[in-house]
Amino acid sequence: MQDHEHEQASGEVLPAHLETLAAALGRLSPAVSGPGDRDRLIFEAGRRAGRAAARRALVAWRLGGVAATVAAGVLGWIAMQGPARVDTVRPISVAGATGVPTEAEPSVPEPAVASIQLSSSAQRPHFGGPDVSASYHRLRRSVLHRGMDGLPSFRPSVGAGEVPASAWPSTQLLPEQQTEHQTRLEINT
Amino acid sequence: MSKQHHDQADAALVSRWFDAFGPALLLYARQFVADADAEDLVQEVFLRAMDRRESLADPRSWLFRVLRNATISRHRAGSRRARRERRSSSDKPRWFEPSPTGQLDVREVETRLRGLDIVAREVVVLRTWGELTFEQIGDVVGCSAATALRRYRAGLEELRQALNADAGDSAVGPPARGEKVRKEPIDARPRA
Repeated sequence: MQDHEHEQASGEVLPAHLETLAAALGRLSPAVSGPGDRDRLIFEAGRRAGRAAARRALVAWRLGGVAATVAAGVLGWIAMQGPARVDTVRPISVAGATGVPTEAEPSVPEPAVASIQLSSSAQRPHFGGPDVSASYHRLRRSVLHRGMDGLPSFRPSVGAGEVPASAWPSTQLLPEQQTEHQTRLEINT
Repeated sequence: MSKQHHDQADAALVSRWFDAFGPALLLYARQFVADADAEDLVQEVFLRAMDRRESLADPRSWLFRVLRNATISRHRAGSRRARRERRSSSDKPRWFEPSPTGQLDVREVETRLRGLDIVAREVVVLRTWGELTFEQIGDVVGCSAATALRRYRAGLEELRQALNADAGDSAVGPPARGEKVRKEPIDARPRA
């Protein structure tokens, strides 16, 4: 039944007299309002399309502004935080420094944590490189062993207005150096 | 350059749609609302179609369906005013262009068409001047194609009888035998 109706609808079966009437009606042209309506319609369509394009551009600008503001805020916040701080916790155990055992507590000595040293890269002092330290120790050992002779040779140039080495007070010299110094003075004179 | 070309293409598309569907859409809208409202609604539907022009697979059916929903909403909102306007200018033929050489009198056709039940009348308008298939009519008004055909035949038969009554049975052919005009309740619910 449904197929039959569909077939009938598709075939558009009409009696002849109704076909004649339908053809006669179809020859009538629906009235239009006037040529101005068409122009007005096209004008309105163009104006609406322009508005839509302007609205889209405005939305894009607003979104871009919001995104730039957010990005600037995030970057500013990161800059305010500074470099990342690394904290290291070093438990230091001091031998012999044990807590006083009470009666309730077991007498098992626990390594006392003397202090917790916090250090960061920003607070750590700089003593120079390992080469500087080694040369310092070498120089110190040499001076302790050999005295002033252990110092590296130092020959200052005597310029105008400067005191020559012969005028230095001998009291600053060691005994054997004083003797040598005295000998040099005698030879010079 | 590209945007200008795009705008020109849009204008050409609107112009083509208006030439193809405009008069029939206007006639269809006049079945529900007054003339001024019909013109506004047709323009509104065209503009809405412009916004969705790239997704319209069947613009003809879409235009009539959207126009029907819009006219029914407008009819419900201002039915009193529309009736008053229709009454005040009912003696002026304005649905069809004058056709001095035509077989039918446009004034008489309009008067008899107005006398039809709205259910049959809208199907006659959609089929005759909108040139929709019965499947498309069913899609527009919310019924099956077979029901659309039945309403179309009933409307044509009623129209023929009314015209023949005025013209002395000589205008549009012999009277049909065994054909019953069946009126159905108005189903003017807008569809999504």
